[in-house]
Amino acid sequence: MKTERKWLFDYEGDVIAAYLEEKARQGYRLSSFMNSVFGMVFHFDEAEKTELKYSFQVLGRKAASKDSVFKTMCREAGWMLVYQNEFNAVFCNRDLDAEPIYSDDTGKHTEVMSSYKNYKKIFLSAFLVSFLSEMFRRGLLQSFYWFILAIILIQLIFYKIWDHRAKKAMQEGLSVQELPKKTRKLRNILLNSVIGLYFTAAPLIMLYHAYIGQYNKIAVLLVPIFTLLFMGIIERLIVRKQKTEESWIRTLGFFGAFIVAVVLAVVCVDPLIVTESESYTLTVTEEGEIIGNEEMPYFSSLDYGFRPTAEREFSVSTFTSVAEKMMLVHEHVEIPSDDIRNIMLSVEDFHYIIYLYQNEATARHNLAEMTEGMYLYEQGNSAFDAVYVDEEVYKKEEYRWYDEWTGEYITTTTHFDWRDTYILDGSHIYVVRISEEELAALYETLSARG
Amino acid sequence: MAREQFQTLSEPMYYILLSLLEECCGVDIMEKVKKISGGRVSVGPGTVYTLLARFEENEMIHETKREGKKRWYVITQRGRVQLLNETLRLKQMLLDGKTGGLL
Repeated sequence: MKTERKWLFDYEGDVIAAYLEEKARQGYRLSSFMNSVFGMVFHFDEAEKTELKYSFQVLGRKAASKDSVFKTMCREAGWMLVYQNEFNAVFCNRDLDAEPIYSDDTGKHTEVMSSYKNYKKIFLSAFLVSFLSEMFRRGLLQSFYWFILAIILIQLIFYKIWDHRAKKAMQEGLSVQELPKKTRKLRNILLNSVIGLYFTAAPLIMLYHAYIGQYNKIAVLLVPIFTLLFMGIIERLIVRKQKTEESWIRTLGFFGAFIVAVVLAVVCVDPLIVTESESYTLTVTEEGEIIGNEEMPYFSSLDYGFRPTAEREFSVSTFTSVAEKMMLVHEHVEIPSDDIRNIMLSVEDFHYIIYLYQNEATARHNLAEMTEGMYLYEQGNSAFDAVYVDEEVYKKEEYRWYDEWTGEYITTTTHFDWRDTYILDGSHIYVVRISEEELAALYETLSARG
Repeated sequence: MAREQFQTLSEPMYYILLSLLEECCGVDIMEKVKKISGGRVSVGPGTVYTLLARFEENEMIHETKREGKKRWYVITQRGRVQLLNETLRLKQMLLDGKTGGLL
């Protein structure tokens, strides 16, 4: 059987009833509906084209069609219940001249008050989802928060306009009218714009995050989606089966279901979110290039790290992509503000020791402190590395550098010309000549320093 | 200015109370209202349901029996007084209309 799903922002009873009657004429019979912050979602089954009269009712605590007396009275008057949920009920009648369920404004007061309460409940749940999003404050999820907030505000403002007019009309003994068509149109345009904008932007943002490898940010988006999904399942399986009419039990059930849904959602997305708590340390060059990207939680940024402007510690997760790290580095790292040793490399067999510094002043100071009579060649403005080699070595075409931290040898074909600067793995290096005696003294100094 | 509850009765209120001079259930009320008014007034089940609840709350009617999901009501003394007051008010209005030269 062919089915159809339609989304309406209207929640005014007469407008919805007219829409359902038109669908019946087109050959679609209402099977169910769902309330959401975005509006009403109606499900239709294909059926014979027929003329039916519909009535859309807002359910209050007392006037709820869950109340069998009300339903019985409606049925005996020819109004058959088509579908109902916690908030609304739809009745239909084959008699096109049948008396409406509410033949005057008597029920409108209840209707206005009840719909206000119902929407407050929906808005509240949406706010909870938004709050959850805000707690994570991550990329797409944050935008999801603003999206939800915009929808809620538009719905709430227009609902309040309706509520105000309805109450005023009732006080004056006048008939309660729906919002004027123009006002409803304006509301629907605003809502459509926000939704259209979000669903156009969201895939682009997702693609962008995927491109730079921020899969965790996409994963976090799943939390509200999973929450809503689990909420729906719990609502169908448990909440709807509650026989009690006690509102506090129903409310408790609703919030209980929400909490369970959030927990389930977080557990599902857990591997991509919770692992973020594991701490990793980045090492970057002044140019923002990452030269260390290992799991070294035992290193503080004082020993091995980079220079965040605002804070010294900076953690990334397994799922943080290189591109993302680069972005973070550019965002946080400015000119080094202190002189912390970045990394130490040793030439094979420890004949030559290379010390890399992030600040030229520190390099010069430490070199001068370690050996006397050595020569530091200075060139350029952004010196932060210093390299010691002797005369024989720099004439060679190939060098093997031993990285103490990784235990790996790095081969480079860079020819270190005397009195010049080079770029090695993105770092500036300064070539300094020292004698055998000076080298021995340097070893001694380094050994003494551990 | 807001109308005080039941100070005056609306048309559906009047006819529902009138139909409850004899014990009847919701559907009976709908039929009776139509019959009494000669088809001029008809009330929907939602209106009947809401008004019955309000009348019962204000002790203008009381429940006499239940059968499954159906309930029967009848007017109370208080309800009769309200109905009579409203009838007299309407009668006075009619006389005033005559005195004023309308009729």
